[in-house]
Amino acid sequence: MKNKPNIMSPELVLQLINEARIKEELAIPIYTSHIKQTLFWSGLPNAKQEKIIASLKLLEADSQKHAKILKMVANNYTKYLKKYV
Amino acid sequence: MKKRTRIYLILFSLAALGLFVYFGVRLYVFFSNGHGFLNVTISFFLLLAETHSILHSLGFIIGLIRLRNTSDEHNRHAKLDRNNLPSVSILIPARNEPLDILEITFISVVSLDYVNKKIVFLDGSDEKYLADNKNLALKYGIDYFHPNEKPKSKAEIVNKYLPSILSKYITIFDADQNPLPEFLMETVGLAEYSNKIGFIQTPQLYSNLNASPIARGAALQQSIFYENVCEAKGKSGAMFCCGTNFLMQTVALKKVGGFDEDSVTEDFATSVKIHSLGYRSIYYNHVRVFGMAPETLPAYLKQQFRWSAGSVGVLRRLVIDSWNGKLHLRISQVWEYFLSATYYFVGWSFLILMLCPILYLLFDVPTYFASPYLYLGTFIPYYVLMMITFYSTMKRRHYKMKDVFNGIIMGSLSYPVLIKSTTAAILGKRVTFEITDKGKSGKLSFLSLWPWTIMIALNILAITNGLLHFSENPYAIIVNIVWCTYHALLLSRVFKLNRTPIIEKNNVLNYT
Repeated sequence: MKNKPNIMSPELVLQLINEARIKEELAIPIYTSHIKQTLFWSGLPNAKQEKIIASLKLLEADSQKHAKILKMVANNYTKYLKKYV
Repeated sequence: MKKRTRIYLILFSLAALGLFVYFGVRLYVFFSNGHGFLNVTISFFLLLAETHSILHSLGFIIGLIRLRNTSDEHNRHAKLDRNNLPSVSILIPARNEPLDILEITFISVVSLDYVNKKIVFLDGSDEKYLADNKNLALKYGIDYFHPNEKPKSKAEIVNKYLPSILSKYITIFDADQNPLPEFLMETVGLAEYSNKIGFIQTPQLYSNLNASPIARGAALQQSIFYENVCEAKGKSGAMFCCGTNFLMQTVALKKVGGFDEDSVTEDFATSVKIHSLGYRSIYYNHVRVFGMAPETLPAYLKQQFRWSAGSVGVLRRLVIDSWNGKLHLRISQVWEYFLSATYYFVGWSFLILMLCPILYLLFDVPTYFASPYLYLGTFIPYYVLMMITFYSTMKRRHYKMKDVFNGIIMGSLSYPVLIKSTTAAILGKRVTFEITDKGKSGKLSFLSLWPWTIMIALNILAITNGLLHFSENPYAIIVNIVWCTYHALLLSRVFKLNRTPIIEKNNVLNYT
């Protein structure tokens, strides 16, 4: 007999999407800010530190895009649940 | 054994040898030069002060030798099944914290990569803050708890909520601590390895370094503590809980009756009880949480006051409980707790070490200062070897010497506060730190700076008197003038640090 697959409830799915959006939209800038302030402690050469900071900026910009996508997914999923479930 | 490890071990051994030789000479000098009540009394207190620094230097060297042990015995992870994670209650106790600080913490806690978590905001704030705080918690899907009676301490509010916690683990973040997403997966992985692990402590890293010289100095001091000291404590299973950024077994906390509400450092006092039950603790030396350092001199001194009063208060109870046979700690744990609890007597030690050259230049006591050859011949090698040992270990961790030195200076400047707090703690009195803050500027008023000002004046007076009598005993006088000059310069730093922080635009933590 096959095991019953572990299916998440719609509420949990929505909660996880929301947490992921918060992380992308709001938490990533917090981590980036902390890392930028403390990067000098890494002992890495200045050129490498600057490279890391530039990459962090890119990632931060990407995260904002991801946040928009997640918001859209959450809205569509809510609409779907209201209509069909 | 690697060449570098061998070099370090030789250095540590030499430093330990220098330390023992110096201490032996100091004992000899004390017992062979005792005459006159004032002379003997001053020499006795000086010996006590030096014994304190020698003991802590020895503790530091033993810790460094322990760090050479690369066994991963204390860092073994259990494999976690992401679909079946043990439950964790995340508690954020706070009192009258600014909303923007709280929001940043809420965001980072919600973003922890862990499905089976329950976040609870324990609000001990005044009435006027409650509505806004509650709304903020709800905005991020965080449970809100506010006790009927206003709690007096962090320990009290956590204890009031403790009976309703059913999860296997609890973790606590202070309102200004921002964890990284992997915090729980890593610490729970460590805790799941054995049910004898009572708690796992992770470091605090202050990221507002550029906010003020105080913030930078406090951050450096914290780093010295969390890098070398805590790692060594972790190796001997005696790392204590620092009140934030830790994961604890709920059952362990419940067994000891919750956090100790009698101590102002409830975390330290509770750790002793948990260790006494046979639980181990782990120090996970990976920065997984960022926090905020105090930015002004009053805020920094207030923090030092609380920590010192709490630690010495625990020492008092440790002695009483040991006497009554209530404590069941291993020798290594007793040693580590002894070091932690006695560290804050450094304020007394510093005062005595400052007073002695002044007394010699003004009144010719202690008399053995008159023949500095033996003292210099043993003190200089000990001091130089200890400094090389200390700086080499910090340099390996990429700290700049200037910053490490600034951290040490800030520690020394706390001496009046440490004297007050440790005295109160020994007498078993509960005192609060009240200091005149000049308006809302975050500065101490000029009058509040009297302990530093008087000591500077005494040093200048002693230097002047020494110069006037220079020909009487040039070698001894010059040595003591050097010490007085060093102390006066060090103390004068308090005026530079007692400034309102100016946060440059480029350095401000810019949260969106």
